[in-house]
Amino acid sequence: MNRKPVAVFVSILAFLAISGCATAPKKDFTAFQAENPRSVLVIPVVNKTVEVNAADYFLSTLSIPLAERGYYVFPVDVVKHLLENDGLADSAMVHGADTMKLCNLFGADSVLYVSIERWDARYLVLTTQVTVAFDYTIKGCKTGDILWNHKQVMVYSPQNQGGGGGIGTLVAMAISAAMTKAAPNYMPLARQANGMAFKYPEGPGFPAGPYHPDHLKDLATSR
Amino acid sequence: MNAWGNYDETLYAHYKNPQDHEKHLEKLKVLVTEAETTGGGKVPPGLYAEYAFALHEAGRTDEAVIYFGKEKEKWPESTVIMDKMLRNVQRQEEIRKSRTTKDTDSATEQGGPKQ
Repeated sequence: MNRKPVAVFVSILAFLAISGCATAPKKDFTAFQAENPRSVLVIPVVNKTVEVNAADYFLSTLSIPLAERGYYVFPVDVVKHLLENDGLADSAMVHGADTMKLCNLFGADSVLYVSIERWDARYLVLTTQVTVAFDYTIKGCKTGDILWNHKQVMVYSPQNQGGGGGIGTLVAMAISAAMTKAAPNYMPLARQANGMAFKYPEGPGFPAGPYHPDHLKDLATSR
Repeated sequence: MNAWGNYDETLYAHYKNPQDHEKHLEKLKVLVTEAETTGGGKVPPGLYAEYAFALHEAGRTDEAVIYFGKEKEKWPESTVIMDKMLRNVQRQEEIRKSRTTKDTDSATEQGGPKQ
């Protein structure tokens, strides 16, 4: 098929040390296909790190990659406010709530649960190593079952930079520039993590939604 | 697929400086306008609703109702929640109006809180 995304993926690999599921086998999409959701409710993110602002910051990055895969994504800030008004100000409470209740409240087809596992910078002698790690789970609103799960770890340190070109270079430059400041900007790395998680078929795999031309075709052709 | 503009950066800035409602509202307005014009009408999911919510928070109910309606029209998947938002906004507007009337009626009453 299209070779360009593969080239981009390879060049990103050259720049970023990626651990986790980047080379893991393809996922089982049976449950996903059975529910065939049109919409994704992105609920506030659970933060397991000490960086208190990470949850809100990361919430701002999730709509674009999901919607570009062809789904209706509920307005994350409106959702956050409505849940707060409903007494669910703590994201852990939202994650602990009944999935079906959330589905019915918003009229959603699926719910995305994300937890931030890592969001930190280690200042080493010669370099700074920045790590973000996320655990993504989508539950379906027909059954409440898990339709999709993925863990994505991204590590950046300036030493990982290599040759190449294209988008990979731009990403590396953006991150590198951000790292030179006193407080590291995690956002480029966080966006890259989402890009990996929701990429298909080069990434771990995330089926196209109804607004994407590959909807219902991608899973049939790539195996 | 969608004309995002700098949607994610706008949201990020909003979470970084949550007090700055006016600026956030203005940025959302620009995003909506650009998506409708130069973006060829490819207004991304959620954008009309975020703008509507910011208008509602600013007390601009009539405009909020218009944009919640636009979200629903553009994205039928949002129907359930947009209908709720429209009902909420209109109900709050009625409460606000009745309060304003009551306040003028009972401006001289200084009773304690009701049990």
